[in-house]
Amino acid sequence: MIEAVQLTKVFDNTPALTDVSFSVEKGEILGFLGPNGAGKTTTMRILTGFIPPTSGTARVAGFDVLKHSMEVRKRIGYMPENPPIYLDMTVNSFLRFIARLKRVPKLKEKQRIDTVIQKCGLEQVNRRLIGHLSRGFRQRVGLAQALIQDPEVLILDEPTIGLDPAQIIEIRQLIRGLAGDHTVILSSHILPEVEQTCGRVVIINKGKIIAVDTPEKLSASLRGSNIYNIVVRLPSDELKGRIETLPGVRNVRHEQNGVFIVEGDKETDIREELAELIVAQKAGLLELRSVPFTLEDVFVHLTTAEQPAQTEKVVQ
Amino acid sequence: MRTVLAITRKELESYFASTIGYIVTTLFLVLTGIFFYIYLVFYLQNAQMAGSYGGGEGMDVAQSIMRPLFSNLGFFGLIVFPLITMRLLAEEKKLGTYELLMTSPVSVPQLVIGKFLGAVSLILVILILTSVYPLVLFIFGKPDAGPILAGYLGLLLLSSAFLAVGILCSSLTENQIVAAVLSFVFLIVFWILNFVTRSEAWYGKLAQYASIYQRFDDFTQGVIKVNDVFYYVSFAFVALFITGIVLQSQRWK
Repeated sequence: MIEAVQLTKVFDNTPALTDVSFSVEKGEILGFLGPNGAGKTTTMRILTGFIPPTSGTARVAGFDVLKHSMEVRKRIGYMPENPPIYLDMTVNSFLRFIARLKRVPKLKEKQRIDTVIQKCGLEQVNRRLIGHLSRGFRQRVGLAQALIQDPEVLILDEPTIGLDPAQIIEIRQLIRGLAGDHTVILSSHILPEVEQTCGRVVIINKGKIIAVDTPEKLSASLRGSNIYNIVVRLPSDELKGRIETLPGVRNVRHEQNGVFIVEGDKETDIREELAELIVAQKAGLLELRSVPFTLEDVFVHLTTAEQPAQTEKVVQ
Repeated sequence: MRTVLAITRKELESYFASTIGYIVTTLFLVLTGIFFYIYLVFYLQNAQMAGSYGGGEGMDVAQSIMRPLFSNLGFFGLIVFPLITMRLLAEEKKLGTYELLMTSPVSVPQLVIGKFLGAVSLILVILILTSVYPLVLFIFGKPDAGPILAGYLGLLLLSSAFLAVGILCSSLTENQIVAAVLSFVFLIVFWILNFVTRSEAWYGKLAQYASIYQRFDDFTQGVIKVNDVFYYVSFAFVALFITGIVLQSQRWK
């Protein structure tokens, strides 16, 4: 559905994107993950045809974003980072305006507006001026605008920024519900968001793609060991020694107040053995859990690997 | 076409959703009213004086009241046009809605024409409202309708040309104030050109050809010349065309 081939964008001799290639299948949700200034917005702007790439090509629904810009634009819904809204319009009149720009057939216009208002939870505010709405509602108006023509492709730049936790959950559910019928690209610098909503993740840093995979595989590929977190009521050095002697245990750390961090082999799960051992020692087992290796770890690992190079550049 | 009209309608609506539409309309109507009153009083005094010496029937209402009034309206435009056009493109860029427009199936010409028609329709609304003044003349007298209608046509063409220039200025910046000042300067230059036309030297002739106001004067006399109409239309077209080029080139930066 979306195909980017070696996209490069240079702003005033500063490369913002270098050789970015990826593709998105129909019905998939792809997450774009990266720190601020990594090139997420630039990539999205190229895909929407807002700015042309310096080199490379991108195709959306089979149409080149430069040569057949109008065909591409008809098929995408785009929500830029700052919701593009006119403060002096009401929600209704704004959506009507956008529906006309996006060439929604006149007969369907009212039905589409009602649908997106309902989908984005704007029923109570649809007659109010957008300028009088809170940040969260403006964000929803921005999303409603992107959905108005029921586009094949949705490009959402930081869709949950500035929302409160309850709203974030709602918007995420909404986005997840779009998968299947719509192809979605969303960008974020918030990891759990991407982890929870996206089928596949592109990690981008300083204009380069550094990893593309499913969240699970990304975690798994970097996971060298299993980590267990144990809390006991009566910690002792003897207990620590006993745990260390268990087969499959590589390292044990006693943090404080009876919290032990146990690192074990990647292949075997030793939770049962650990539990039995601690109970037999009558140490008062309070908690035992396996610590998942999060995308957060992957992200930090991948984006800080280039750290030395970066500092060198700054010094120069 | 539907796209163009959607933009035009949105612009006209937002003029009256914000205060700017009301301010501009009020300003225009009040100024017009004051000058209409002054010219009317002058006319009546003159007519009375002429009447007391016998005669005065030949005095033309349209020429004595409406012609100077039209000239004044053209002048008020200097202040009013930049206020109307300053936000058209500059505000879109500032709000980030420009990104929305340029990722919607809207071409640059559609956008520019839509904006232009939005500004022209506001002027049209204002001109229709000012028609109460000549209406008074029609109620109490029998003025010649031709020059008045021609004057309005001239005013509309003059406005179109200047509004197009204003849109061009608005496309150059993100700042509305800068856009307003730029178009004000541009309009002032054309106003000054009007004085140069009085010179008999070659530059006087040149100015006469280029002057927007000089041609407008023909209309207020009830003369509609094809080349005058053509001049205004092509003036607006060129300004809008350059606006389109400016917007296209900004994408490639």
